[in-house]
Amino acid sequence: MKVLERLAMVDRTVSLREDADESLEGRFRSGDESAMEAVYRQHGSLVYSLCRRTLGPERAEDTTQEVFFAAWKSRERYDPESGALAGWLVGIARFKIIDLYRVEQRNPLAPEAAQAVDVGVESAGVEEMAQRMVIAEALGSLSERSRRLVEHAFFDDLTHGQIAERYGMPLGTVKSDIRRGLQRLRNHLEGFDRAARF
Amino acid sequence: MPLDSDDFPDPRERQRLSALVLAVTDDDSVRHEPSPDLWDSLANRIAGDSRVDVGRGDAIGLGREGDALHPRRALRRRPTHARLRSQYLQPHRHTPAMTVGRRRHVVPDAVGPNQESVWDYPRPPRLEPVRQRLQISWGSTAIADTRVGFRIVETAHPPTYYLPPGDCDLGLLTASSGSSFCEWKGHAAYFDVTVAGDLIRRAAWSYPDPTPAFEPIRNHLAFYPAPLVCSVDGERATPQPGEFYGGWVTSGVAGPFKGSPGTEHW
Repeated sequence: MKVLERLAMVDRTVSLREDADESLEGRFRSGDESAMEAVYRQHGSLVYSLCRRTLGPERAEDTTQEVFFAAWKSRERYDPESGALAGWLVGIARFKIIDLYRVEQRNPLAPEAAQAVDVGVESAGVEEMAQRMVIAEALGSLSERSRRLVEHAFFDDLTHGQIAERYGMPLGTVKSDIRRGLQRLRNHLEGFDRAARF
Repeated sequence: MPLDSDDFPDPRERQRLSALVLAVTDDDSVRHEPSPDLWDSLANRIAGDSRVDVGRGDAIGLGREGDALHPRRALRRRPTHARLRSQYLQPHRHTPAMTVGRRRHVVPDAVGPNQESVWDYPRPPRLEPVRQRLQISWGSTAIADTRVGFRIVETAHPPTYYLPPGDCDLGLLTASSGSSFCEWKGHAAYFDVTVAGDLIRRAAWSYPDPTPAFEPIRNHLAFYPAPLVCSVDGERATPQPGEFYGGWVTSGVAGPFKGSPGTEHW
């Protein structure tokens, strides 16, 4: 009984947080600048980290700024119903990064061009790294327990029943936890997929 | 993989998600923090965008024309620190939405005998040497004085002037925080001016490492014609409307200028 109560509490916390996020996203969408700041505070380090890994620390900040400015300008294209904002922002970022790679290769004066060996290969690398970081972000946003269950489901050869047994949890809880976790991952990827070259 | 099939109605999605989850490395979870300046600079751009881009949703394909004029929206635009600063921050803002091809109902002002129309200026912007005398001052103190400056002209904007650092009193300038980026000219650095105990924040900017096309203005200084006194051959320039552009309006240029009320669609 105690466990169930705790689970109910966790559920409520999660849904409260999602409500708060939704209204933040709604305010972002309607052009509220304070919401934009909250969005930046929440996701700035994710976008910056991707830019930094792909472009180096010198160019990461400007590109991060371009990403958020583009997101701001195109905020009405973002649909909170179909994809997480974190995924959407990273989706925009990967286009900016890939475009920068292309520009550099076309412009022989850019010192960075010497390093850009093959834009096609690099772009594929960016695309993949961006998606992995979106997934890492989604996993990181799960509760410790959900995250562990989701990882068990993917990594180990455990069925939902075996996981339930190992953790002494009701099967229904394991299933719904995993489903919610997967939904989070899926939602992040959908955001990513819906981003465009803004 | 023992995930229930009802977890994944679409097998391709399952494959994609599995591959990604299995490929995630520790590095993918590492987060670096950008410098605090980044938000300041971004907030300035956003504040400027809210002010300037009123109702130009059509130009960026959002169909939100008029939205920004809604009274509720106007109320939301409280003065913020960022917005107050923005008037001295952005010398030039280039956005595709301002392309002349998108403009509507622009009727260039009549051009007088000694005038040039900003509607004859090119886009992308062009750099030109200036032989007129350019002076910058604050009160009775001269900050800069030159006859070998440059100007940059761009469609719809009054010219911005760049003065060689050798003709500026660099002792009055100190580096200011933040930076901005222009797709044509590169990164701008900003300077505060201190004269006789008065501190004028972000009164000047320059391009320490310009793009090749703007190489001649490397390290040259541009000043905002407000609150500083900036003059061309003795005529005091007035600031370009809209406050945060850095253009100088003199009797030699005919508008209308980007930044004036009603120019939002340009």
